[in-house]
Amino acid sequence: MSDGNRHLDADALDAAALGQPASAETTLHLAECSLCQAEVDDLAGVVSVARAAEHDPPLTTPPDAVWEGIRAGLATSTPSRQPPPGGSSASAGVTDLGQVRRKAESRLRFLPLLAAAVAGIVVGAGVVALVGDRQQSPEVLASASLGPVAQGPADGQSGVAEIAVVDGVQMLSVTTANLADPDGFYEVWLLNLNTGGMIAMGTVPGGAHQTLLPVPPGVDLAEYRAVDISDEPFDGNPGHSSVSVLRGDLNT
Amino acid sequence: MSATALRLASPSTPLWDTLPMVGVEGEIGAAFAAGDPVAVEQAYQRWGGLVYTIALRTVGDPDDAADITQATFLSAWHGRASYDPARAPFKSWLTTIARRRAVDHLRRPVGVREFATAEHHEGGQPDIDHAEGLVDRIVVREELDSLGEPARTIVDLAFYSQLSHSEIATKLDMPLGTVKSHLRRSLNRLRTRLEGSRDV
Repeated sequence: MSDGNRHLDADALDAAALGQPASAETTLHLAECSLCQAEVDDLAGVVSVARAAEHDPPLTTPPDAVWEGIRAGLATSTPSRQPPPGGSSASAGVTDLGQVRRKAESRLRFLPLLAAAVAGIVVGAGVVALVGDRQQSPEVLASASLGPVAQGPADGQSGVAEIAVVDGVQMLSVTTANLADPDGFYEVWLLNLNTGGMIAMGTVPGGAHQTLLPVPPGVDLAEYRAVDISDEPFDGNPGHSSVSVLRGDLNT
Repeated sequence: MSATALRLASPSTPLWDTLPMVGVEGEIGAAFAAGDPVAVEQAYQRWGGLVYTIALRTVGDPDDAADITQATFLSAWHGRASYDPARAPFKSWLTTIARRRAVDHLRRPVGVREFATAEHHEGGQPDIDHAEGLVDRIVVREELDSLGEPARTIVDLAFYSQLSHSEIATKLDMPLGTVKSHLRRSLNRLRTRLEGSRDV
């Protein structure tokens, strides 16, 4: 990890932001790398606000009259005369309930992907920014139900994988449930079942999580039609450990 | 596998229920944006205290805080078409409106507002920066309080007891990797929440 060309890993950034004693290598890297230092400063700002708030009193419950006022305001407001400042008048005035439902559904459809980004499971502000600023709805290209593979422990472990285009970039969303803590770490793979080819997509944690991983441009999704999650030992071997835990076929 | 790992692997609350944009909070936000009046009451029950506290600690006066809270929810309702779930969780959007309303209140000309009760009004000039700092603290504190376990305990030990990753792992008898990933996720969540509640 002391390779001068490499950036600090997330744990080292967090530790530095929390003010934990840093190794000489970390200190040296931060002195030379404005990118890592900026990330540490950013996170340290969050930590500092949280530390300042340690002894703040809990939230204050508003008096009942506040809600009464809001309810009265809702009752007297006539949406048709008060178009929303956002510009679109589509949701103002008389609205077809079915339309409302459809609108809500279409908005909710890809929320797991967004949730992953918001929750910061996706390490890398680029992806967060990408999803956060997107103007168009992600287009889901394929999805897979992930089920236990015989050789792995099987107690209720499951998952869902989706491939979607977010502003022109293909992303793989992996959602897992009840994934036991791995012996090493979990790695996500795209599999070509015809040729046995595999592409390592990235890691996911144990437990119940949603993770967003970028799909390298140029991957032929007509060929790579299965998603696999394996338990990889920390042995430095980048290949598949052959210990698959969850797997599923991508359906378009 | 240790007992701790087993417990972590089957949390009583699914993680995505605690995430800001899915589960109940996401549904309330989507229904609110879609024009469902019931969602206003649900949103108020869930976030009325947050909005009121932001207003109260910013302006100091309970009556003004009540006015700001009402104005925040009503203007959110009228402006619901401008809410984009892809940009921010509903809670953050609401916080942004409350923050703006409260700060606007401070900017009102002297004589229009009552400011005798608010400590930061000494000297007659509202301290906008102070108000922004207060709101940041409320936002972060609220988000900390909504962290599930064991994330909350881990964050407390790292932030306030100032233990290292490995000291926390030892204390809680948890794998180091679990501690690290909880901290990473919580830090990012707090950061996203803080950024999302500020005016862009």
